[in-house]
Amino acid sequence: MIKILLTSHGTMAEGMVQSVKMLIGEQEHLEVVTFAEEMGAEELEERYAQVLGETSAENQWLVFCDLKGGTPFNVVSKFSFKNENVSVIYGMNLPVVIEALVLSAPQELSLQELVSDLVGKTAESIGLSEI
Amino acid sequence: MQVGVFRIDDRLIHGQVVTAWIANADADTVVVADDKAAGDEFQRTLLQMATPNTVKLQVLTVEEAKALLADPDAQGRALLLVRGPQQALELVRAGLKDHTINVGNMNMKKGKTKILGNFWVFPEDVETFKDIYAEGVSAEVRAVPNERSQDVMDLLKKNGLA
Repeated sequence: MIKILLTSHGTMAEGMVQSVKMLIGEQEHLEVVTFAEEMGAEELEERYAQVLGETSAENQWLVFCDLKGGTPFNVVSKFSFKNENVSVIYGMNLPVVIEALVLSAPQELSLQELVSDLVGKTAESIGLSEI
Repeated sequence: MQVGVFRIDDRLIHGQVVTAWIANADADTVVVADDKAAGDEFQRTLLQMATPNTVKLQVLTVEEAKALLADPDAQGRALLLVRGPQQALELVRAGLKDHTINVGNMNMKKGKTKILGNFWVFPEDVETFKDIYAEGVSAEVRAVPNERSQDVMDLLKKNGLA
């Protein structure tokens, strides 16, 4: 099973969950960890460990981070380093998160298939309106 | 090699550094002087990943960084990052004395005293800052460039630690 974790500096990830709910309804396999001001990297790492649990082929995670190189990204990357059961995508945005939830819901795709599908779609999720 | 900004940050390269300090330092290279990171494949991979493609990255031991900073042929302008005051002191003692050291994040840990939200110190950190000031070098706490600069020694004195 692939579950999805959203994580950000401040409450962006929580807001993202609200927006997701508004568009595609309540999601079972969606979790959030936010990085608060004054929180140390160690505390953040503990939160991730609690949420992700023991990862395995039956417990895979796709993580969305707000920003490449930010602390949430840096810390959660420890869990994806040399671990094919965790993938991290940075530059979290609403259309790609929704796409991930929709594509992963039937639980038919492998994590690798899901990730390559999504990464192919990221470029069209941001652009200048021609209107 | 010129140093644009000399910063203590226990998170090394992260959001504040990527979004604000590289530009503030007008740096073409980020130099991380950290024995732990230099010897750790994960840390090195992560630091490379965290560094924007527009700047170079060197992850060095403190000894290697001393050699690089002393090398008259080394070109470029660096944002120099160390994990804590001890590594900063080593570089100061090696001759890097013409910068106010920027303290970005020294985060909460058991046994530390809180000075500011992003500035927590062990008793030995206080001693190390005293040694840094004794070398004629000062330090300021400032997480991001547009924040107010606060002198480290003033803050330590205000909190009865120095």
